[in-house]
Amino acid sequence: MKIESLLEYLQQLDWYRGQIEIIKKIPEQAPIYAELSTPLSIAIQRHLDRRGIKLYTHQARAIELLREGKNIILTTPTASGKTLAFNLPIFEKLSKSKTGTALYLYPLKALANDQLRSLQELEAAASLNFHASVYDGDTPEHLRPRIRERARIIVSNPYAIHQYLAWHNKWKRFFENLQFVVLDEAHRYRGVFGSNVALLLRRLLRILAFYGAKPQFVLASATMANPLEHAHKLTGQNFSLIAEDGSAHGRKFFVFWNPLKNEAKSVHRQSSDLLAQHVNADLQTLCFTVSRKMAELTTHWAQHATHKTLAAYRAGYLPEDRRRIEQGLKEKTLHGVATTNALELGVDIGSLDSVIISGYPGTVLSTWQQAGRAGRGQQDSMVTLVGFENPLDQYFMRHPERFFERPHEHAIIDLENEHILLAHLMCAVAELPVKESDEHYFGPRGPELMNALQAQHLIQKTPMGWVYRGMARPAEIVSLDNISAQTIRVLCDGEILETIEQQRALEETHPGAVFLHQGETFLMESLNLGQGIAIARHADLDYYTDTLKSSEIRIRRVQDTKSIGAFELNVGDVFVKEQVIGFRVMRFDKPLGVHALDSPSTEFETVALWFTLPSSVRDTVAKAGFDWAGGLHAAEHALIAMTPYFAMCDRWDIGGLSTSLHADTGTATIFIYDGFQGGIGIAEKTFELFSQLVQTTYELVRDCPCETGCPSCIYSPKCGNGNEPLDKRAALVILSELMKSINL
Amino acid sequence: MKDLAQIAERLKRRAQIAQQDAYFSPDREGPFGFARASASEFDAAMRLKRSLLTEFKGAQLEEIYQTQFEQNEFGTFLRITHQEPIALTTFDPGFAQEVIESELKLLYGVGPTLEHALNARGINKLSDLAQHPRWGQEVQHILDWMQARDLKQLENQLARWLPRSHPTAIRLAHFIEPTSLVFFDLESMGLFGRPIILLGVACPCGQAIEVHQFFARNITEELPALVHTFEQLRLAKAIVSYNGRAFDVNYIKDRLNYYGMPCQFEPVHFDLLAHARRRFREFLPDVRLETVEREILRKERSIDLPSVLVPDFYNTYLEEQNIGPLIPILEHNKQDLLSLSLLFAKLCEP
Repeated sequence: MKIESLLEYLQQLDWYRGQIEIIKKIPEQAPIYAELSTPLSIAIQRHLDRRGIKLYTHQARAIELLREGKNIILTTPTASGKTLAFNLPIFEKLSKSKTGTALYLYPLKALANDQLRSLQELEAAASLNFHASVYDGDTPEHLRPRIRERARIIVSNPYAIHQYLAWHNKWKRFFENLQFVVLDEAHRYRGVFGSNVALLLRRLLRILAFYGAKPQFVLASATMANPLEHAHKLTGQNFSLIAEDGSAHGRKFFVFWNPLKNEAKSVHRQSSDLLAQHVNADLQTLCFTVSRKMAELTTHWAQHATHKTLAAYRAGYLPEDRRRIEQGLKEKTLHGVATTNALELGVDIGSLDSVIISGYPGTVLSTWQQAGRAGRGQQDSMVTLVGFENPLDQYFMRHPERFFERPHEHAIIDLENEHILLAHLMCAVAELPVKESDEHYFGPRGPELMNALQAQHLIQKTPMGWVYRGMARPAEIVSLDNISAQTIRVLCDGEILETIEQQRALEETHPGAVFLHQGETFLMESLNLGQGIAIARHADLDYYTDTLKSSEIRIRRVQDTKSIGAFELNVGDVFVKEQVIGFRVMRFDKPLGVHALDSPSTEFETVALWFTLPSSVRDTVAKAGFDWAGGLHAAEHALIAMTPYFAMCDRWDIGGLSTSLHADTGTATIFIYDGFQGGIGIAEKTFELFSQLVQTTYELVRDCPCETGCPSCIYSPKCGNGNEPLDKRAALVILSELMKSINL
Repeated sequence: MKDLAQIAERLKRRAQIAQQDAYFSPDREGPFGFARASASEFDAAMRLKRSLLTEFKGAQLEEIYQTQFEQNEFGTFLRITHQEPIALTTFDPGFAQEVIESELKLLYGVGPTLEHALNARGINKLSDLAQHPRWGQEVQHILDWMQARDLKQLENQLARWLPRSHPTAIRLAHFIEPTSLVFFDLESMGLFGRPIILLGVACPCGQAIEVHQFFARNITEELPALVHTFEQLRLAKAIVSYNGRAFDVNYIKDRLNYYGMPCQFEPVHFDLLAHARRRFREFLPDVRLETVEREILRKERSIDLPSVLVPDFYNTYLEEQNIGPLIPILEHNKQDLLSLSLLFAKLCEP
């Protein structure tokens, strides 16, 4: 009732201009319970009974499948009891032996302690002692030997395992007896990080095989379009999928709020007002913001409109302060909190009545994760998505039904990126000599890759297999967050803000650039490629900068081609040459000045998707009196903007180029390429899903109410040509011609 | 193929940069025995390397040293042998027996205060307590071990009640004929996880000490050299090292593990670092072997190579196929072994 009256109230506010695009009511679900074929142990069952827990269908299925020795991936929603679903069978199996062990990996160190607590609770309840422990970079040196010697459950993260594998002998007991590897938040293992982790897991499996262990895998993940493919690529194993949710939940009101309907009030002000109205309506509310600064401002503004207790939450606060806020949320003494995505995953804060998502978080997956914070048992809950002036935000505002369809987003992992492969092979060789029989762990190109490393004297073939020849410890020079190309550290006051690839550094950290980090602005002072350091300083700026660059693409090898009518679509290896030639200082989309830069040109090889356009389309555009080059350029921008909808990535990870005459194709061509050295799988995925990409891009451009293009459709914040020329109507012709050919 | 080569080359460059950082990195404390090089040491070493490359162009190790190819089931490696006229006269079981017998602290519950009280009552030797209801049995064990020369048990008993650096601990060495001792020192490509290139052992024999250096001319020869050395160490009654407890022995085990050959090895081990630290700490700026050698043994090395530059010199040897840069590595290792034996003799002196 509270929610319905709040919704009515919102529509009577004096600043309401029809911002509510849709109120989607997701019906409640009664719990669906299931019985196990064989009951759990008496101690565990008593523990469940005491806490009033009955097993839902998905939990029972997870238990049965794990008992059968299968690998599983669980994709039920947040708060559906996933952790219990795999902890129970793992505890059951471990309790049946005196030695079996399990390794739990979390993508972030910060999540380990919360998990440890739930494991220890279960240990106590079941009267079992597996000495469950966290073992990672923060574990004090003197505790380590004891944990390695006796813990039967270890909670860690991939960064730590990456370092420890070389010391596998010290882990002998734990590895020999390893029965389970749990990868929680498995959707986070995507893109560059995911591809690195996939190869790290191949290294782990090889070491485990050396000790005679072959563990079962348990993956828990948010919903995505390709869970089985993802699990397989990540681990190399086959999986059973558990997706049907048996847990109980109340009604959920999902509101799409389009702040652009009232341009007189800023989007952030609308979000903070919504937060105040929610808490005034007695709904305990979490408001996700896009930046740290916004988390604080939103709290500050909202506090003016309510007497309820509010707080801001973000990474960078002291642990005590964060604990206090988490506690306040759990105990309901805090009524509203504005937060960065730091509260999106893992951290235990209980459930709230309502969530406001101020700005589409980039993926549908994250949106659902954040939405999952609302909904207490079977009570009603409310989620509000506030769309910003970006293509994807506005696409969903106009097509909310797309949001609720089955998932479109694919997690991508590339097992063929040569940079990543060589780096991990080198690590593997330094961990244990690699024999010919091991090469299958690293794909079909083993021998060729080994020879490349040998030619540089990094490894050598010996009668014992390939062995590492020395120099630095490989795990020290291989990072899981980057492709093994040169990286630049962005420093501010001597601290590292971010480590970014050189390519991106040239565009974003040249002197004079306004660098955005977690929503805050920094002014760049210097960039030293030789030292790999860029210096930034804090600066509260009301302008931003746009890089101007020239790009060139040469096609090196076509991997695959398909014809779409008279269009020809390709995916393959390309050579990209980019040079930053200057930058524009912009305020409110108006250029204030242009500065020239003299930076080196960079060349890198990557994977691209490209398509050629027939002259008939050009004629149609010309006949209508539109600009051909502007149309190609606008279509390219829109396609890139929609790509993350299918291949989960940041739009900054993708580059593009359009030209009315390309030297290698001899005709008008649009390229979309991976912004990472060697490619990370974005282009391949886009090739696979191209017709869907065209469909949604067409809808995006067609349904945007602007006349000649705007930041919600064809403008790109990353455009190297300052968004010129752009012709929205010509782009629509091109996209609709593509649609026609696809549907023929 | 060209791409792969470029990517691999980039990896190599990163490895080289990381390695060079390790030479100078001011925020990383050089671990013992693997001290960082100062910039001037580095420059001097590079000059040395250049002159060695000229001097030894086209030369073979066989022309300079007494060498021999060795072979075992894992492959071949090179043995380089030197002899130095150093006679060790540390064998004196009576003295060892006397020292240990007078160490009442080897008994359960006896600390300095109680020992003092016992001495005051005329009890000065373990055997005085042979019939004691509380300690008699323990005393009997110790006496039996001495009788049977069970040094491992004695070493454990000493380690249980006395610090490793206690002078009594090294007196144990007087039970052992020098010919059953092996002095031991290795040279590697870095700290852990990287290959060993040279394993040196020194064996006293009568009026001389024989130094055997087992050298891997390339990585393929590491394992056979390792296995060979390991067997020698196993056969010794005791091994003598400088920081070998923390470093050399673990390193050998680590490398054998790396090759999938896990091993147990708990030898009687006189690690002179602990003793040197206790004896000389107050007089010396540090207790690196080079410093002890210079200040205590009064020996000066003509050329010396900081350990941290060993990998660089070895890589140059491989790349240039020129033995020049090996000379200081071999000499450094040999010198360490000889100093080790002299230091051992000095520390054993009553």
